[in-house]
Amino acid sequence: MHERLLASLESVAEVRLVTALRHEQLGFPNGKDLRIFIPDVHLISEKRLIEGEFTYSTNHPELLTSVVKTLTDLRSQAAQDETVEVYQIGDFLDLWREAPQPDEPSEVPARIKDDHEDLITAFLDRRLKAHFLLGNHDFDLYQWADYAGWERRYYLPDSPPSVIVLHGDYFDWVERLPASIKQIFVYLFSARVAPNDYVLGQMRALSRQSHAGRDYRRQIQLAQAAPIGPLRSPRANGIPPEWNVQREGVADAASLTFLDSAYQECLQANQEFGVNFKVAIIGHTHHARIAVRETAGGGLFTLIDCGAWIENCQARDDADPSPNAQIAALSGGEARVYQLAPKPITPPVRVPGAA
Amino acid sequence: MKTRRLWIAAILAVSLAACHVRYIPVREARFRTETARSERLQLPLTAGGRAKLLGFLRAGGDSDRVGNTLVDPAAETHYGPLLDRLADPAPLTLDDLLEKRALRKWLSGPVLRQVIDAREESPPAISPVAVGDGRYWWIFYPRHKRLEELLVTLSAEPRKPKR
Repeated sequence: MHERLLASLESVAEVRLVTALRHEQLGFPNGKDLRIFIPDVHLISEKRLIEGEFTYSTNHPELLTSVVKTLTDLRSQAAQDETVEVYQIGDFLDLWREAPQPDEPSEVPARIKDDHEDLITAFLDRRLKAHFLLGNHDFDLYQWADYAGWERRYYLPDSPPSVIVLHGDYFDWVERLPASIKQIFVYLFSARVAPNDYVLGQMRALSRQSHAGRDYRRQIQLAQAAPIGPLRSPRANGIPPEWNVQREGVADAASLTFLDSAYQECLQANQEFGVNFKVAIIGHTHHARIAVRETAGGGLFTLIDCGAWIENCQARDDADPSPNAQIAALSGGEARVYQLAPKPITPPVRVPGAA
Repeated sequence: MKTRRLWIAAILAVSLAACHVRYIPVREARFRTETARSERLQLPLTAGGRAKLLGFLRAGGDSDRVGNTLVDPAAETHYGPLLDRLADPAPLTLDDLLEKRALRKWLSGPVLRQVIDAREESPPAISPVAVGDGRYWWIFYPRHKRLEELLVTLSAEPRKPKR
């Protein structure tokens, strides 16, 4: 199903492969089950973009709209025995940049959506049935009725799960505020616990703590473009089992961000809750990559960071940074992350003698 | 001591009211201007749409009484100018409603963006705008920032006598 996804993406975008991993220990072996992950979009209203003096905004919203529409077609055309599910993994709306004062009313998300109608309508098309995660920039949506279906984590597949999908801000808390997160850990990683108001309140407080005093006018996560290594055509000579995968001892520290934290949390969850998480899928860092490490038992743990649609990335062989525009996919024991760009506009062909 | 408790109670009540997340439910078919979505009033109002809406308002927001029992004889006087504005060919925009409050003269109540309509398969992609006048909620449905459709529904809030 990776090939069908690739063909769909190529119908609307220029596609380059950032990273790929095909490995038996990745889990998720079903080749008829395709999960697609769209990372941080960070939409704000046009008015706020100007008033807030932000020097950047969501990258290629028209392209993203086309991508989502083509994913809707892909899902609609899936056979009865196939699964195609799309996940937006948090920070879809950027409430923090839209309304710097907390406790803003529900009009805030509505105001953002008013300015991005085509994109919003594509994402919320009932034929797509996209799943949404709450990120740290849109966590407050949880309290409003329109976002009742938005969650903080998903487990894939539904039984038995081997993959946890979460926004990724949790690992900020793990690394900075380890004493505050015991209850949150239980909620996020135990497949048997639903959040109570106390845990949600704790998460909300931590979210706010992490925003306090931050100036988002020039950046959210990246002072410089995220280094994403060498990109390649997804068509040339097939895709090797590993492409641009970050490993401990070889990769730089930035490319391994949250790998150890994710591994330790999943290991603890596996021991305490009888689950078997081998893969964590996140966004949040705006740095697309797949990072792996050996487990204590000699297996493989994988962190898939899906990137973003905001801020920039720097491919090793490109002269200039590119706007982050990434999408990740998991199917048949293989994970891929693509970098997309608008197709170049081809000039109309001149017909000799035509007026 | 008693005064202090009263103050604390008052502050708590105000805080709770401020925290209350409000949303508007679309009422049962009898208490709204449409039975099915396909019957939704189009903006600008046509002559037929205006007559239908006025009939609903004259019946006190109860479809069972439309055309047979008059409940609000002042409906034409009270709502006529608003209906005229809604029938104006110059399209109303979200900006007119939210920023300029162009309908404030008639619809001076709160403006909310959360409308719960249990007939729908899912919450709306683009949130409608509900404006209250005390008795009804006027729910405007935007498309590319133009107000294109309207549903009027009786308020579900308990009616309180004015003191």
